[in-house]
Amino acid sequence: MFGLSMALSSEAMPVQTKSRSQSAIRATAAAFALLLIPAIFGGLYFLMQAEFAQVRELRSTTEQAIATRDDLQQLLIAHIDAETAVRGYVITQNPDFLQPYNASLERRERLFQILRQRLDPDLQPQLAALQQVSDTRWENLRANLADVRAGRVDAARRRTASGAGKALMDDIRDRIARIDRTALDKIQGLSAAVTGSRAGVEKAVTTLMIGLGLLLLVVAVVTGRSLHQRREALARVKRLADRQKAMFEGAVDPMLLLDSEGRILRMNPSVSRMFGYEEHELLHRHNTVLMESRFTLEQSMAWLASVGEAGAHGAGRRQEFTGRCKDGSTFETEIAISRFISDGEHQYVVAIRDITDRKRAEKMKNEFVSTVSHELRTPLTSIGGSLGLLSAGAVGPLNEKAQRLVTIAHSNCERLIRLINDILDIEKIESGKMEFDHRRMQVAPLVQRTASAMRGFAEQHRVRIAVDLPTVPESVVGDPDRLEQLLTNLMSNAIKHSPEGAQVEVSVRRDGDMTRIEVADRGAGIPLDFRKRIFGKFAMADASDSRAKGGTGLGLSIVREIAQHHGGDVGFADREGGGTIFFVTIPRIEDNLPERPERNGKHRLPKVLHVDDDLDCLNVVSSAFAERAEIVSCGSLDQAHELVASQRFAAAIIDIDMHSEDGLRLIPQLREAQPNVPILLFTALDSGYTDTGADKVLVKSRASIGDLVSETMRLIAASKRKAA
Amino acid sequence: MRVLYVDDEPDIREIAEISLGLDPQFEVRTAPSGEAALALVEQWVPDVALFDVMMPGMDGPQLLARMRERPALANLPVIFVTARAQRSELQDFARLDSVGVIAKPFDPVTLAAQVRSLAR
Repeated sequence: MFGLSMALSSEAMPVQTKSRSQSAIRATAAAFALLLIPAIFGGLYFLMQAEFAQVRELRSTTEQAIATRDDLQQLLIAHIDAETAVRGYVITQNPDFLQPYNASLERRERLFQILRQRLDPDLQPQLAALQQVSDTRWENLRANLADVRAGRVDAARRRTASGAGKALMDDIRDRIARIDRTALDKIQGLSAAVTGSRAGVEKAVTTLMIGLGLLLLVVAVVTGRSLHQRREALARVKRLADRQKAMFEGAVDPMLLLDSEGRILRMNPSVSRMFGYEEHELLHRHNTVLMESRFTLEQSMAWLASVGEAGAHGAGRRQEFTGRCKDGSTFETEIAISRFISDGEHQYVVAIRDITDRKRAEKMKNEFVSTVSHELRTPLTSIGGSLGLLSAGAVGPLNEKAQRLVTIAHSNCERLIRLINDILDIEKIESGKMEFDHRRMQVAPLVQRTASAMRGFAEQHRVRIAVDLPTVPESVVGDPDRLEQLLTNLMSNAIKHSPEGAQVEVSVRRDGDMTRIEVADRGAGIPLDFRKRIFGKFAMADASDSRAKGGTGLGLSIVREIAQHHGGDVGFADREGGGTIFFVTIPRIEDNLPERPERNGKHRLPKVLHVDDDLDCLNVVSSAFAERAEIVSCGSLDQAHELVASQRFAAAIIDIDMHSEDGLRLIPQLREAQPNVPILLFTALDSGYTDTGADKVLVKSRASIGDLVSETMRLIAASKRKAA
Repeated sequence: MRVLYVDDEPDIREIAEISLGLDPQFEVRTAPSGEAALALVEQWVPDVALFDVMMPGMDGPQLLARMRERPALANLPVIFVTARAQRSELQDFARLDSVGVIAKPFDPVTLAAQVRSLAR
């Protein structure tokens, strides 16, 4: 599953970066288009508006011009009507003929008034001239009328026949025609101008439309490409999902997908094969249904919460569990679990492996190793014992050659014993079976003890050992025997590789949060090609080395395992002036406790009950009390009640509120069984436990384990005094 | 000081006898089995006893339990000798009312001194 998520990310990443830059370009294009399109529409609107205004103006001007021409025609007709009417009256003297004349007179006045208002200023002079001629003509007509009325018909006829009237009429007709033509020309000019500007507008509109079209094309292309890419990305995601599904469904090992609380969200067919449940029987149930009950639901969830995320460092976790099938049968499994985030929620992917065969093989191997160790050690005891006695002269002196041969046999026998011990150690460490008896301890005595134990070996090699210890004691939590083994290995390496007469320097110093132990030699240094595998198993600089130095090639490998089991590490560096410095770092602790009395077989340690559901806390407290009290650790209240009923304790340490179980319920029972037993509450909850019946309340966040130890020992001593 | 050594391996019995005999104050007797040891202590009460852990028939811890049944041996300091030097087992033996454990192969030259220091 790690591989899967990596495959997903490795394929998705370049696509993402690529599409990121492309999407930036697309966004810019879209913004540009968004700005351009309204601008184009605005331009179009403006042009159309101008065009419409011009058309409207043209129409009104044209209408006006037509009306003007009509008026001019009317004016001409009014003159002709008046002339005809007057001529008829002159000939017939019938007043009926004068009717059109009177109407014309009135019309002439009105028409001139209209034309004066309507005609352009540049035509006004022509209009005024026309009116003058018209007035003259009208004078002429009026004179004729006056002559006829006065009975001078002949005078009127003469005037009419003289042609003066006709000449005036022609002049009037001519002037009207001229004004009319001017008005007509104006309309035509205007129309031409409008036609010209319309052509410009049409050109502009066409250009804008083409621009708009191009923009739309660009948008279409960009969108199309983006859609294509999205389709491709979707297809890729689908391929990955299919692949992932195939890997999940097709995995030989059962696999589960759990939600943040450990309920089963998905499972593959192998789960059904291994556990006998159908899919619908398991979905949405808690994963503990598949385990032989070891944990409560709360513990299981707390465990889940401690699982790391899948990642390059593989922060997931492996753990062995006993699996339980639907039919109730059980088998050993190893699960690999890792967390990931899906839709903002933690989910877990779990691969389960049946390790029944492996367990069986492990058991056989352990039995084999144990048997071999016994079967090899028994004859070696005889051989080594015999040679040791001979070589030590226990049965009398040997001649020189015999002594030499016995010494060779004896030292090789010892080497064989070391080899067996180292192999067994490595095997135990690697299978997690090496037990570490961690306790609070000082480093200086350990170094001194080891150095003095190594002095004999150093003298054989004509090497001196110098020890440099800090003035302030350095304390660590560790297994003294294993740390001595570690230091012995480092010092014996340093001694073996030192030239005669040289000095091996062992020093202890503080290095931040760590205590650093250094072993420096003046040897030939470590060959470059050996540096990478120096901590590997059976690692020796060259084949002849082991014979020369009598090593097993496992020493540094054991050193590293031990250092790492202590939360530290081991390394080396070239030493200035020649040689090598090997160093071990181990987390240091503040030592605020008085030195503990040495273990004494006859001395009974006080027995202290510790009830806590946190396994880590139980372990820490137990190691902190080592050598000062015998801690009886207990993880549940039920068990605690049984222990209180069956054993006597010098003191009790109780964690309040062990999830749902309230630790306080234990106190009355303890008091009843042992009225004077000191009771300490050691709790993570910091909320006024005043009236609990306990002798002391310590809050985990404020009191150190050291405080807990000293307070407990103080209360035990006080209660002993009271009893005495 | 009477020292009893019980082991089913004759070679180791012999070497142990010589090794312990290096201490001039030790009077050493050996027995090849738990039964033989129980018979021996009827007439010869030791001051300290070393039992091999793995023996056919009655093993070391069983022999210790049988010896404790006798009032004369109730406080006898017993040391286990084992070729199975597994730490957890060492601790188990230490709990079984013994004064200590010596791992095989032992150092023949210092064996007597080790016994002295544990039995004290």
